[in-house]
Amino acid sequence: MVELPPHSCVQSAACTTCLKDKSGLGRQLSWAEADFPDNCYPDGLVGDRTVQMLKEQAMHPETPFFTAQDSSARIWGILLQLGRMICIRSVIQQIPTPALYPDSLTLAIMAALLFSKGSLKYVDRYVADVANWVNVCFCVFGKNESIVLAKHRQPPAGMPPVAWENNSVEASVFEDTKEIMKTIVVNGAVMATVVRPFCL
Amino acid sequence: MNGPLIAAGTYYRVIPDWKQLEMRRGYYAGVSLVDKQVGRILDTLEETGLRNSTLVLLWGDHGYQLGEKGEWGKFTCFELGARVPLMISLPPGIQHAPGSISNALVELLDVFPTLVEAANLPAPPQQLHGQSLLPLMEDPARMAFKLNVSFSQYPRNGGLMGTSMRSRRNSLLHIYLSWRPRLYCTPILTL
Repeated sequence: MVELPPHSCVQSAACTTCLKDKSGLGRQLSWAEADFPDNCYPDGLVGDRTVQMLKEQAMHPETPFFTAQDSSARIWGILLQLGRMICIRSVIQQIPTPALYPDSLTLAIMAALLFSKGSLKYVDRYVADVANWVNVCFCVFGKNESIVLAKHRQPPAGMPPVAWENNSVEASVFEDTKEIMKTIVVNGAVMATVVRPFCL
Repeated sequence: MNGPLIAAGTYYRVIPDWKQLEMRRGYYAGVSLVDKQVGRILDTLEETGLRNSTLVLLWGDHGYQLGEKGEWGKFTCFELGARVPLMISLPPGIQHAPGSISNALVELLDVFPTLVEAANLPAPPQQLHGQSLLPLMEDPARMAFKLNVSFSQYPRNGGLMGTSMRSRRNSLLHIYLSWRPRLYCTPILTL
């Protein structure tokens, strides 16, 4: 049996504060740079739950099952009930001579969406400052991969403003990005723009 | 047109390079964390013997822009925002070409019909918009599989629905349709 934490650390304000204090990194989202177990992060918790469920289910192969894993217990519960209904209905309908019996359906919800949801060991796989000769050595002799700026960073000409987004995701994640960006009202539409002169 | 009036590409110019590198590094770290969790699940399937009766399908519901075109996020109709990963691993017993890659245009609407056929379930009585991908997995070079174009949608600011259309020629057509046609125009342009 996998020992699971009662809640993912990053889901409570208290834990967030705790992680920030431990990391001592100040402005950054500190849990990104701290070395915590995977299941302190929602995706790691989903992995634990899914592995645990598969191991338990393997002991009862005759039983149809469904699982939907998410770091949010509420969503998980709703999807679990929905999946059970689907499985029960499939069994009742007596599917004719299936080549693959639909006895299991696992849905694991993971989101590598937000920046810095990995702990230090994952961040350290990548080196952002390749101008530093020490980091270059890490890339050449170690297993690290270098991070470079995006190609084609300039927008194509002729696209209307509606094609663009206000980049709210990273502004909501990085505290110093919030400082760089400031929300203003432009012609009735709330958008993010720049007020820090050093960036210009 | 009453949409947002901020200049395109502004964000890229104003986010310093060091911050862009930091954000890309953080995103990569997040991907590595998820990659490890997926690996743990696949290992568990092997260890428990469930792998031989399990179809594994890995996909995402959107792409992401990490500074490309000056964008940082998923909320666009550009290809990097709309294109998703799609990997399917079939169990023994279903004819397919393991380890192969196809360049055919498909949509996530095809996932459900694929699962239905793979599980040998009767087709749902109602008409499905998608199409099973199993024929494509038998012959990944079957370019005339289904689509000449694929579509994606994402709502835009100002009450508009953004639709992008991807063809095999790498052209991407953006169409912005209004939910309130009396108030908004419909610009159409091609990249």
